[in-house]
Formats: sequence, C-alpha cells, structure tokens
Amino acid sequence: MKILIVDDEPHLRMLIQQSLDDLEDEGVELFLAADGEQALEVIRAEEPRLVLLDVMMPKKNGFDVCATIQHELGMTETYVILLTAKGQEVDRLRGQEAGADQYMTKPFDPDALMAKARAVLGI
Amino acid sequence: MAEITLKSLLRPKADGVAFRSVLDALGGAVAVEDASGQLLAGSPQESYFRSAVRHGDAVLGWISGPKEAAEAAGALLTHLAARESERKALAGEVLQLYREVRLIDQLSEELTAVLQVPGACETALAHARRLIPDSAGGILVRSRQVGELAWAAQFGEVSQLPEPQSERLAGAMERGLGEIVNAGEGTNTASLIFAPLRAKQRSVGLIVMADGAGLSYTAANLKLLNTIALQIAAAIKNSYLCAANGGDRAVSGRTDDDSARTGNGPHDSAFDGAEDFSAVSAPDRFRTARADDFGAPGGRRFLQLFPD
Repeated sequence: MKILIVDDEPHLRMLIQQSLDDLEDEGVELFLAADGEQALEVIRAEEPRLVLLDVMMPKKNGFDVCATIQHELGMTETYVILLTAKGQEVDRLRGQEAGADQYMTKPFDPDALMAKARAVLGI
Repeated sequence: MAEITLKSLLRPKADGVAFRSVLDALGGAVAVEDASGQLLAGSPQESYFRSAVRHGDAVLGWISGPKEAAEAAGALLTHLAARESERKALAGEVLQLYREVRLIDQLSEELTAVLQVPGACETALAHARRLIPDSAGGILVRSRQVGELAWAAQFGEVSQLPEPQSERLAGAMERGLGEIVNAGEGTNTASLIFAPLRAKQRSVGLIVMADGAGLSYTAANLKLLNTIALQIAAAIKNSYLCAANGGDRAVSGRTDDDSARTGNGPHDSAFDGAEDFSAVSAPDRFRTARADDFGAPGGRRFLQLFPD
C-alpha cells in the first residue's frame, strides 16, 4: 500500500509524513513530491492508493494533477484528498470537478488525517 | 514513531536511491541483509567479510562482500540510519508543536463562543486532555465572596486531585507559577501538574491535571498547560465582564430555581460544582436575566477580581 504526499512547502511535507509515520510499521510506503509534475511521475511509477495533494503548487497545481489522475490516467481507484488553506473554500467545487474525493483545510488535524488514511487503505 | 529498518532506508526515496547507486558503482560486489538474514539488495555473496549496520546499540543488518567495500557501505548505511533517526526526532517535535499551536488556535476560537465559566472550563479541559496525558483533572476558580478555591469543572478519577485548599495549590496561586509534582515525590501517589489562571497579574484559579499510571510530567507539558491557563483566565475575565454588562446569572448559569434549591442567593458561592452550571443552555440563561440585572450590581462584584 502506498501513499503519496504532495506539497511544495518542505515543512508541510514533513508534518504530513510524520503524521502518517506509524503506518510505515504496518507496511505502508510513503512517497513525497514537491510539485505537480514530480507528483505525476511518482503516481505513474508507484500507483499510490491515496494521494494527499496541495492545491497551490509550482509547475502544475493540485486541480490539474487531480484531473490528470482521474481523467487522463484513468486511475479512478486512487483516492485523492486536496489540502488547502482555510479561506480557499471556494476551491472546493473546483476540486470536486477535478475529481477529488475529499477536501481538507490547513491547518490540518493530524489525527483526522491518520484516521482518513486508515479508512481509505482499509487498515 | 515508526522504527528505523534497513528496508525503510533502502526504499526508493532520496537516501535509498543514492545508496543503491553506490551499490551499482561497486559492481554488485556487496549484499545487504537485514538482521534476520533476508537479502534486501545486491547479490548473495560468498561472505568472507561482514560489516554490521548499527543504529545505537541495535544491529539493523549486515553488508557482506570484500572487506573495504563492505565496510564503506556499512559505514554509509550506519550514517544514513543516524540521519533518519534525527530527522524523525525533529519531525516528531515539529508535529508536536504544530498540534499545540492548532490546539491553542481551536481553543481560543471556541472560548470566544462560551460565555459561562463552567462551559469555558470544560472546553479548556477537553482540549488540554488531547495533548497532556491524564487520568483526572479539573479547574479551580476562586470564589468571589470568600476567596476560596472551588471546582468549576472536573473529570476522571477526581480522588487523585489535590484538595482545593491544599498548601501546594495555595502556593502556586500565590507565586503565580505552575508546578509539576511527579508520583513518588514526597507522599504523592499520582503525578500532578498545575498552572495558575492569571489575569492582570492575579491568579483567579488553577488548572490541575493528574496521572495515576506512573507517568512523569515534563516541562513541555507545563509550558502547554500554562498557555491553556492563560486562555482560560482570559475567558473567565470575559465572562465576568459580560456578566457586568448583561446580568451575572447569565454567566454563572444559576437560575432563580437554583437559588431556591440551594438556599444561596444568585450571587453567592460562585462555584459549588460543575453540575450547577450545566442544566441551562446559554440562550436560556440570558433570557433569565432581569432588566434590572443590567444595572449590574453583581457585575461590579465580579469585576472586583480584576481591578484596573
């Protein structure tokens, strides 16, 4: 089972990775990407079950990455959670249109994120 | 925190990719095995030398092959394990700070919506419990009339909590400083941590938490509890100010029925027990305020706790 964490902010990547750190003991592999293009490379190569996707990123934003996953790559089994800052709730609809399964606001709740990851992975 | 293993170090992340490049450069001359002997990378070697990969006192695995190559690869993996350990420790601390900042952010936001002292105390305790381990806890607030501490909210094994009039708590109130008294210190059977609720340089109460499972509280726990205590003190101050403007029964939650039942007037004995404050919703409490409450004679008494 694989999870991809995509965020251009290194400290947020680290925080999300650390929030999900315990899953590694249960055989889950965590992958990191710093922008949309890097994210798509990892998605093609590793086919993660869950993608935690920042919205505002250089090169390719989260909406475009999400749309590529769902529509271009046809990876409909991949569960995509968009992560964005509070106050950008207007983007929720845009995220749904791009095919995101869920929308979480930053600052995120580490416990809620872990619970969601467990539910998606079925562990 | 997930354990560091050779398998995790060799995953196709930055360090793992770099190490595999080194293995390729060595021409497949070395093999990497975990502590149980499972081959993780390279080819099986006619092992004439084995170099251990260590993390602290633990052996994570072995590199086998020609002596120089095996030692170099082993040293590199040992270094990567130490670095990964430091990264995890640092990330753990950052995550803890992030949780604390988020907790204070949420608590501040929720306290703005709570106008009753017991409600504010219960909200604060619920948040404190998320990050500070405990088996019991409570918030003491100084009575407006007699100046003694009384519980405004409690939870858990309350027998583990100190008596409100104990010297230990009185000292903390007087000094305005929080304290940790861990189990085994003196006659203490449960670990205690408490911090004064300070408003305008005065202590108006205390938040107390206890753990009966042998845990030792830390300076980091006390720092967080102090921050929460400051938030509660501000909320209590706001409650009293609100009472001064809108009728103190709305804040204390006491109704005329409560007063008749207890025999106390509506401004007596502010904190007889949390249950006294939980029966009426905030809007109901405000509806019970009489027009003459807005003259706020009781409110002035509340404000005596916070002289300008």
